[in-house]
Amino acid sequence: MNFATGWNEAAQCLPWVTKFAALGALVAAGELLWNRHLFRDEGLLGWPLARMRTRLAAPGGAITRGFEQVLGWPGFGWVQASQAGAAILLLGAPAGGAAEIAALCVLVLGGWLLHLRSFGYGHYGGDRVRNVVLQALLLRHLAPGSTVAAEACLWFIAGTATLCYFAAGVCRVRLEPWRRGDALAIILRHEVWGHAGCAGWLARHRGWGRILTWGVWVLECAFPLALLLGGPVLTAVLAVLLLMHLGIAWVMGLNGFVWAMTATFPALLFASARISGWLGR
Amino acid sequence: MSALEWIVIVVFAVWFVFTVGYQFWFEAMYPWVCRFDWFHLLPALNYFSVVPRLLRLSYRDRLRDGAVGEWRRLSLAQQWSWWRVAWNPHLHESQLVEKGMGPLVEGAETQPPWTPEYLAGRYPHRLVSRAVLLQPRAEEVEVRQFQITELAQRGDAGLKVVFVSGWLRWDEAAREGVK
Repeated sequence: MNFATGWNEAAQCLPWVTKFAALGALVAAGELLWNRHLFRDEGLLGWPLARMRTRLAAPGGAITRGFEQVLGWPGFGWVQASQAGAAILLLGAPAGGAAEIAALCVLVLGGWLLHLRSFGYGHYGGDRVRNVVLQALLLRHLAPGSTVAAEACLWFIAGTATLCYFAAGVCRVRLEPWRRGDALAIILRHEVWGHAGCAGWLARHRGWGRILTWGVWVLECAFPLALLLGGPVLTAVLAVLLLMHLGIAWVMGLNGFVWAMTATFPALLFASARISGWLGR
Repeated sequence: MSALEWIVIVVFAVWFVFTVGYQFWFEAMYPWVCRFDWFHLLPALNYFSVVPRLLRLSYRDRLRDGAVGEWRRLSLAQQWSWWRVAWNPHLHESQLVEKGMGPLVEGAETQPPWTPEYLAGRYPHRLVSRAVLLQPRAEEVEVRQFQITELAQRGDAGLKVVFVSGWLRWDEAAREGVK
């Protein structure tokens, strides 16, 4: 594919979205398998405790018992292993084939089960974006081989990613710590997502703290404009956003966003290329 | 266009409209989404907009002879590595406990505050209790208690106690699999 011009074609972009989403799913499944102790009965996400949150635990009945086999231990360990297997299959599967559809079905079902199992606990921001991407990739197979469905899928993913940045930016502008410019300095003092070294540096360099804090929401709020301008502007903004996600992963440990948001970038390039075409650029 | 293509387009369009609505009318739609969005089709995308509170978890033991020990910190700090840009399994456990602490602190601040009986049936309380009870214990320990303290986001004010649990027993937790 020609990197500069090939983003105009859905058939060229979708495999990139699929492969990045598959990589993210593989990492997420691997991390959950690494943390399998959490899913054992005595673990923090053990089924005896998680069933307090679940949407599937109406007492009695064959369906409920069936779900308990899957959601309890070791059943849920096998669900995670199947997620890893499906992600590997998706990485290697040819675009649009039966293997791709099967892998997407397993990944989407696994995402649903994790959500239904402990509603709101055990999967976080990056997982949610990745699940939306995987669900969209599966939905387009409802009209197999259709270019229209493939393009609708890419528009949807691009729209969701744009919304992700824009909505986050707008929400931040409304809140005092982001406007004041010390939100990052506060977050970096957090025990889970913080980083003592970076927090100390920001405490000594308050001006930089303000610039970085304001920079985050300015970049997010301006993102739709970058999509409209397209070309080198969008490429540069995506590069900065990629650096931002890598920085967030490095400092805060939130690596899920790196994979999930990167998977949306080819769809953003597709949408921008189409908009540029309409505007006669 | 075929009927299936129309269906795909309409589903994507409706899905996107609801996703947009959920970002900007979150408060109004949240109860509805909680109730009906079983498959998590509508994510809230405003990550870290609300700056998280700086909470700390600590616990203390009461021995069989009645002696009460000192508060000890349960660190939720992640193990740091260069690899975590791509691979970070250490986040899950810390993030899970942190997520449980938030509702407890908010519940303690409501008027009237949550009662111990009410809390005992709440998932966040059971989750944080479990995290605390899973910490190693000496043989003579009978019960354990946890507290959540908060560091001020600005200024030099020290830690403020924002939640204190009742005494937790291992035999009650054992019914849910804790050994």
